[in-house]
Amino acid sequence: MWKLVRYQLRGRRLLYTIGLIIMGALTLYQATRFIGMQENPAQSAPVSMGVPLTMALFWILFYTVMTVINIVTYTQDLYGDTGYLVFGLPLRGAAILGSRIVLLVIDTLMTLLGGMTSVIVLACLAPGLAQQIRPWVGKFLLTGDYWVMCLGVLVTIVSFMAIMFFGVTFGKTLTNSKKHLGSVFSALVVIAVLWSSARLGLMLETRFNGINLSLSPWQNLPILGAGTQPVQFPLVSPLMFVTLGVLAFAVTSWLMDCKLNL
Amino acid sequence: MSMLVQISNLTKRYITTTALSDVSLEVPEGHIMGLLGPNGSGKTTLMKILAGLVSPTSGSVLVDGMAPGVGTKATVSFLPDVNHLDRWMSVGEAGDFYADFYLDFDRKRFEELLAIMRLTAGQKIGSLSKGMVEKARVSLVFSRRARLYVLDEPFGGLDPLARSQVLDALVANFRTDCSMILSTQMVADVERFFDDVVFLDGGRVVLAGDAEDLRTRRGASIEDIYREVYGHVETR
Repeated sequence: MWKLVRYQLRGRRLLYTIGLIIMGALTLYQATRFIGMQENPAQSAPVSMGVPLTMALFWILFYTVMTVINIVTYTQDLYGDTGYLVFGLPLRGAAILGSRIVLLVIDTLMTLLGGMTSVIVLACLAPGLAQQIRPWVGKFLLTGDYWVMCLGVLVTIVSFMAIMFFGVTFGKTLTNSKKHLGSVFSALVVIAVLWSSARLGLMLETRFNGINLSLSPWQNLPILGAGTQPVQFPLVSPLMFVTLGVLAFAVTSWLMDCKLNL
Repeated sequence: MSMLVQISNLTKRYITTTALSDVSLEVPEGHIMGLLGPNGSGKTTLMKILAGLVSPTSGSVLVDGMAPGVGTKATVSFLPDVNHLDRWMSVGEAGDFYADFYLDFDRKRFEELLAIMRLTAGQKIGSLSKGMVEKARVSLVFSRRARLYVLDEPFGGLDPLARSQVLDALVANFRTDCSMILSTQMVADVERFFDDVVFLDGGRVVLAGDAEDLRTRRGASIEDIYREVYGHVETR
């Protein structure tokens, strides 16, 4: 599996390089918006707050593009000619799918770390905001609850993508080489699974009301005001979603091993 | 003589079509089998089943005593009829890829074949012509010391010189401890290499046997028998 990850990373080196250069350039451009601004919080507040937030939105866009690329390349492997290379390897379906999941985790971590660095740097440069942020950056980065929240987000995204991969693979096994029909089936499968999991999640949350995870991810950023207040994260429905993700992974691996028709 | 490939009563159905119907055949070790038939006769489906890329609907398939799967993928060297290599790879990187995943990949042989095909390791797949990509793919497939070579239209898009280079590679790299299944429309060019031939039509075996026996019995070349079997279907 790791060899496959290495090759897929090698195939994406140009994409990563271009993507990170664009994000770096955007960060620099956003930083130039601070030039000539006064240290007066009343005057600079809208720009100072707006710039890091805009940058965070750019990173979310970057991640969305990477996620779409992940799904498209997987679909191309299933329906296109390069599938003969990947699925012809003496590897189990779990290893092939696992390599896709590892790539997704790498993309997520890259976005998370890149986005955090970019936003923190901009916040530390923002006139009026910098004085309040700088003393807290170190503490914030050591906030355990923040990282627990990030881990939860990562696991949920991986589960979501496992369900997407399942949808694409299942659509392929149902329709063989008919790409458009397969895409429609895949979309229907994904929508059906997500809709059912949302309904089931709601039902479970009602049934097990009160089982929450209390986290204070922003406790070391008092500038946010509400930072000291713990946030209640529902626990039952995400756990169910992760279980569905694991199930999707297992079924997709089996489909790859036993039912795939390239 | 041990049988490297044993197929009995193999059927492959898709939703609306039957690609293969009750196909039975055997390929002995050390033999080159020509798999012949017009487009849509089921050749590619049969080859994909042997390569472990398509699952059979019913029947039994054994390659070196194993059902197609992870185990057989390690011993079957498959050349699909389309470019399966990633465009971002260089020829050398494609060789590294094969070397990493297939234990039977012989890097020295790969370098020799690249020299014969007049290719260099640094050339990008995406920048090569169709014929050069074909030569790179053939070099990769023949650099494996596989038990079974499954070649689907290996001469597609090749000029006569390149075709003769590929044929030379085919002959030079064939061993007695392996077998080869070769599908092609260019029957005249390769029929001299066939030990056995199987004619498929509509997913069924319509004629099969020892190539020399067929030639003697029918007093005709394999290409002529092809014309006879498929009527006026044109061969190149």
